[in-house]
Amino acid sequence: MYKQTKFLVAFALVTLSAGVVTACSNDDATPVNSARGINPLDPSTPDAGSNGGAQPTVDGGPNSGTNGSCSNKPSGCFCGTPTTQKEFLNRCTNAAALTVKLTPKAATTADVP
Amino acid sequence: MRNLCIIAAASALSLSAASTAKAEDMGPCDAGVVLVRGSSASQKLIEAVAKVAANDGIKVVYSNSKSSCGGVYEAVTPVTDTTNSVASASTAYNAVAPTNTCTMTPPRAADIGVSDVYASSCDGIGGLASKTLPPGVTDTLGPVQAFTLAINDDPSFPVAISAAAAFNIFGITARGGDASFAVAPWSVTADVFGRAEDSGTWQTWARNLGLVTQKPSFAAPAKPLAGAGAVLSALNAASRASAIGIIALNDIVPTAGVAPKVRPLAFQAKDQDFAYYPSSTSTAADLINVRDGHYQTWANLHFFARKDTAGDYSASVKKVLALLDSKEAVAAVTKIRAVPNCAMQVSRSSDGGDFKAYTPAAPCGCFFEATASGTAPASCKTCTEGSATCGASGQCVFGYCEAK
Repeated sequence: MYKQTKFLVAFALVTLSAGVVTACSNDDATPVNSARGINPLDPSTPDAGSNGGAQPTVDGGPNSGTNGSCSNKPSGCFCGTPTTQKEFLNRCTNAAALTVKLTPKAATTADVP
Repeated sequence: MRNLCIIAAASALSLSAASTAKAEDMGPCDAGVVLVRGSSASQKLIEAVAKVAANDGIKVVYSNSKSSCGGVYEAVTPVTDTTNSVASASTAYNAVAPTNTCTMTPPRAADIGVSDVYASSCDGIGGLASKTLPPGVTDTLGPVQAFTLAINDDPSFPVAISAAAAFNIFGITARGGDASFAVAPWSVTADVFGRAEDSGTWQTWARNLGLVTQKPSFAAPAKPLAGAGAVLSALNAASRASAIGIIALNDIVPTAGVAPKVRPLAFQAKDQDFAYYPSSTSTAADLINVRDGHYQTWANLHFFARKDTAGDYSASVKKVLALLDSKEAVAAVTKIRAVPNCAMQVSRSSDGGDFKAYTPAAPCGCFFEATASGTAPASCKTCTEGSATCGASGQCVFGYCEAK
C-alpha cells in the first residue's frame, strides 16, 4: 500500500513563445498550402545572428506564384502527391525553408573510422 | 542490477504550467502496478500516458532502462531471466505525476518495454543476443519524437545544418577520424555531445545520417553522455559556437523552472533542397515539418508488451496500450512537444527509413494544433462527436471536423 504522499505543486505561467498557427493541417495526400503563420528572420529571434557567412536565407526566396493548390514555395519545390523520399522532403510548404551555406568536405562511409 | 530512477519534472513546457513535486519513498511497489521500463528520452511521454492511466485507476511505475535498447531488452529477454530485473526505487505516477518512488520486491521484468527505435536497430547492442521479438511480444507504435541537433542559444550561432555536415561531425571527426573533414564552427571534438551506441537518440541520428551504427558512437575527446539530461546540461553550459549535441526536442525543457539556453538547428536532409525546423518556424509549436515529412529525423516510441499463452495482454497492460490513442493522452503528448500518431501525415517502417503517406483512421491534426499552439487554426471547424456537423466525408475527432 502506498504511503500517503505530500505534494507541493507550484504553478507558474510561462510566456507563450510559440508562433500562432493560422491554418489547419493538410490531411490530404496532396499538399495544400494553407495560410500558416510564417516568422521569417525575425531580428528578435536567435535566427538573426551572423556566423561568418553561414547564415541562411529564409523560405527559399520569394513565392514564385501558385500552381493549383501549391504556392510554389520554396523555389523548386515538389507540387503533387509525393511517392519518393525526395518528393516528401521537397514538397511545397509555407514553413520556413532555410538555405544552408556550409560547405563540408565530401565524405562517404569509407571515411568513417 | 540496481536502477537509479530519475524523478521527472512535470513538463508542460511553454504552453501552460510547470510543477514541482517532492518525492517520497513509498517502500514496496503495489503488486498490481504496470511496470514500464524505457529510455530517458521516453520518460516524459511515459509520464504523460501514466497520468491518464492514473485517472482510470491504473498505477504505472517507470524505471529507467538507461537506453532505448534497454527497452528492447525488456521485450526480448525472457521474464524468467532476472539478471537485469527492476529492483530499486522506481518512479510511481499518479494523475499529478510525478509522485513518489517505490521498490520492486521481488525484482521483476517490466510489463512494457519502451524504446525510441525498432528492435532491429539494437542488433548486437546493449547485451542483446537477439533483436527478434519472441512470440507473443508485440510492438505498438506510440507518439513520435523529433530528434534534433542542438546548440547553445547564442544569437550569433548558426541556425541550420546539413546532413553532409552532420555526417562529417558525428561520423568522422567525433570518432577520431580525419580532421580535414571538420566543419566550422563545430570543429572542436571535445564540444561534440553525443550519446552511446545503445541510445535511441544516437541510433535515430546515425541511421538518418547513413552512419555505420554498430561502430562506437564516439571517440574521446568527444563525449558520449549518459542521458538526454546530460546533453542538455552540457549544451546549456557551453556558450561556444563549437558546441553541438544530439537530443530529442521534447527533452529541451526547463530545469527547475529555468529555460535552458539551448535551441535546435534547422536540418537539411540528404536530397533535400532546404533546411527545416521541426515546426514551421523556429518559434512555432505545430511540428508540421515532422508531421508532413519535411523534417527527417524522428522516430515513433515503441511499446513492447507480452501476451499470455492465450494471446491476451493483462487487463491493465491492455488498458495502458489503449490509452495511447485517447484524447487525454493525445493532449498530454502534444503538450510535451511530441506528435501523436493521429496527427502524422507520414510514416516509416524502419529507423531512418523512407516516408510513406499516412492517413490515420481518426486524424487529429486540428486538435493537435489547437492544443500545441493554444488556438485552433482558422480552417478547423468545431463539432460535437456523434453529430452530423462534419458531413458525409468528414468525422468529428476530439471536437474538430477531420477527413474520414
